[in-house]
Amino acid sequence: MFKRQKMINGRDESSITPALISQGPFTIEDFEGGLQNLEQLHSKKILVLGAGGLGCEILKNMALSGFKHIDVIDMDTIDISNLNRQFLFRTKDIGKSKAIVACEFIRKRVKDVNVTPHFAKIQTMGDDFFKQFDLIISGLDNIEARRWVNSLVISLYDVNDDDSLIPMIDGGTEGFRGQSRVIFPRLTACYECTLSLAPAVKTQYPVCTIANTPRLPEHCIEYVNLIEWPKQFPDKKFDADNPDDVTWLYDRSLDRAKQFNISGVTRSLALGVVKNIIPAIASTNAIIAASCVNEAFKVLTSCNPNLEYCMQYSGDNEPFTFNFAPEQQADCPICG
Amino acid sequence: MVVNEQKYDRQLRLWASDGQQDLEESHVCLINATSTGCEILKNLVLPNVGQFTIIDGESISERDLSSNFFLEEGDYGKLRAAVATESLKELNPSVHGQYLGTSIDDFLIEHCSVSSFWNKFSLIIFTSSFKYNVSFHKLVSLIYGKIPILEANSVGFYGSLKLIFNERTIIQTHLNEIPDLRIDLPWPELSDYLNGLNIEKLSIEELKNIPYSLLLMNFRRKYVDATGNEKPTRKDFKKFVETDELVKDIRYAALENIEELLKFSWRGTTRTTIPSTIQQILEDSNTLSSPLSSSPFWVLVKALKRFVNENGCLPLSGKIVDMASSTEKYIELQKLYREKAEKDKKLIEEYASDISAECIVSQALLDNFCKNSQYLVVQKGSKDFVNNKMVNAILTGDNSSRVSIQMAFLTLGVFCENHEHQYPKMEDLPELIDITETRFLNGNKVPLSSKGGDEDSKYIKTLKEFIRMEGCEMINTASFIGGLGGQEALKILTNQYVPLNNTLVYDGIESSIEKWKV
Repeated sequence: MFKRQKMINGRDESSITPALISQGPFTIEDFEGGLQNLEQLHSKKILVLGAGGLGCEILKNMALSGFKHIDVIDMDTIDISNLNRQFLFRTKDIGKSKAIVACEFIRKRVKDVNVTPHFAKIQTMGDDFFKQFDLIISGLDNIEARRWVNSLVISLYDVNDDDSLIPMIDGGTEGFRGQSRVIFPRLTACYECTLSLAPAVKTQYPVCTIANTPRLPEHCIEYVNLIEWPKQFPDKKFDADNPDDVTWLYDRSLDRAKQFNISGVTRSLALGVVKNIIPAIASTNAIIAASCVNEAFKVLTSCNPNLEYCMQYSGDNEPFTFNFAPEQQADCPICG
Repeated sequence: MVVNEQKYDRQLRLWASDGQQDLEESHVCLINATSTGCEILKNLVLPNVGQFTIIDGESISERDLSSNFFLEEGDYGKLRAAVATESLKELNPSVHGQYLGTSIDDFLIEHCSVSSFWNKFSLIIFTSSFKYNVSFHKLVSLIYGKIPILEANSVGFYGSLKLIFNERTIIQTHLNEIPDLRIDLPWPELSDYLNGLNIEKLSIEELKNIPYSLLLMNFRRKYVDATGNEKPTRKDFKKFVETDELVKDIRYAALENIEELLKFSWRGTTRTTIPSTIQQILEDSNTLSSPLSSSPFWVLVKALKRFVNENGCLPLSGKIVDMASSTEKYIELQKLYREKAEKDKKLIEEYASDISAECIVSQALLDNFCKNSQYLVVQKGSKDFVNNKMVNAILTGDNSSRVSIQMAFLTLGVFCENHEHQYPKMEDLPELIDITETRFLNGNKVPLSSKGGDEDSKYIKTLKEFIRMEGCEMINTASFIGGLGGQEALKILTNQYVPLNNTLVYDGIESSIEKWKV
């Protein structure tokens, strides 16, 4: 038996050491238990994409899973509607950078973790930035950024150089549902291979319906958003975060609904339609982020087999998971 | 309230203001502020649960610090309940939190007979129950049927969750997917409206204004008149619609509503019936014990039963889907459905007050009940921990089953009870096997190796994995179970969505969950 090493600075790590120092009954065959696994884990560099609902959870879990070098990138600032789940932020932080505030909080709670924030857009970072990481873990809220990163990690992988392979772990949530997936460039299906699984981006209403035959409150709101606003303010983009803009939109939508005898226009619905709001709660993010970091831990230490591609979770009825591993698409524009 | 509407906007879209109000009026009790326990509470404090009370007598250990984000390094040795309470309250200043710094063992010895202490809670969350086996089971028998209990455990890569309740009745199940259009069963006003439209005589210009559900009603009537068959198959009916002169003549025009008519032609064959799940609930209402039978839910079910007996169908929900049509025709149709739903609701209200004059049914409850009468759910729970399915899974050495995780947790509970909360070591494996066999398998033998091989059986492997992890909570498992437990608690506290009934395990090695009813 190995003698436990007490960390001189920082938190005790006794909760993760048993998994790393001994061979378990389900452990992958070539895994050798020992404290060197803990040291190796400490040396890994991780990039976290997004410091929102998933990002906050991912950072918390990483900080207590033996990861010591974490960079996090997010271009967003903190909004009041984030506070019901993004638990590293408080009312006083509204308007500040998510990445910066999240890192400050993590540093305060777990002192020996090096967390570096990047208050920036992912797409503005160069190849060299991404190349320095051993693993990328993403908790993004949009498909475009995911596709961009997916395509990047695949382009960075040189089949003759094992070190150039950066595994990517991706999480996504919506309401009570979510999914986590593990992507090894060119070894598993990539994000693009299974793009058809991505949720519909936004409900599109036919223009002729919203213009001529509105029936739903949503039709009235979209009419004001897409047709009335540009007519009234040709030089100003509608800003859903500006209360004056939202009030104008809401009032006009109400007028239009009244004109057509349509009921049900509320401010909340108006915001939901124009911002394409997706319901979000802390617990779903907790489930998916935990799954993602658990996979990152297994992938980087080999202490247990990792998820083969994707776990889908649904909790709006009795909870269940569904795991699947599709083949790489031969005609995938990115990795095929 | 505007600020709160903004702050809680993303969750109000899931359970609306009535669910939020129920959540804010609730009080949860957490026994043991473990990492798993704090994670569950975090997921309730953030969405603004009313109050929480932590019961925990332990001092913070090195191991707690290694897996619990809500404790800080300098907190070593302090009372875990006190630190966790402060740290969780800091997440949301409008939540009231308090603690009792006593272990559940001592607390129950002092207050065992006082079930009134527990009555103030909406939910009791018991974590690390395997370490406090005696107290856990004592508490279950004390409050079973009164307050739901959420049991949550995590060790290494394994976790478990169990909801212990006697019965749950859920109105806002959010299961509604099929629109209630009554195409086969138009009520008189709808029939009159359809007749007044004279669909067969409309020009193309006029026809394109008509929602497809009315067209389907027309075709269904035509089909029954022509064939005498009231139960057309989807295929036959679709063909009938496609080959109808009216449709054939205007297909070239590619009208949006005609496209929808063809796409959804199968809806013309669905029959308005009482789902078997609802029939079962109606039958159950005959055999209730007296305190239950006077609850608003069951009074409404009895009213529903009378409604069904007299009308042959459920009250109309009143909601219709969007259908390509003119604004005018759509709004007219919507009004017809809404008026009928209102009328049905009035009847239910009348029947309910006939059944029980004392029982007060709020308008909001009545409204929800009628809108969701197709989707009501009554769950029968239990306080059992082992069933035949679990015994068989262990005895047959079923490799695909994750029952072994739950069986191991139960076995650990007995071991800890026999050894004063001590966690087993590898040399205790024979004793663990013995406990499983005598306590849970009726004396039958646990298979030691997998079928036809030298390898350990699934159950032995699972036990070894448990022992190897030394009872440690790993943050990722604790957080996963914390998220699941959070979701289940929210369903219980908001009285919306269908919760787990009743046992679930998480396998973080294979990255999946499995659930079953005991």
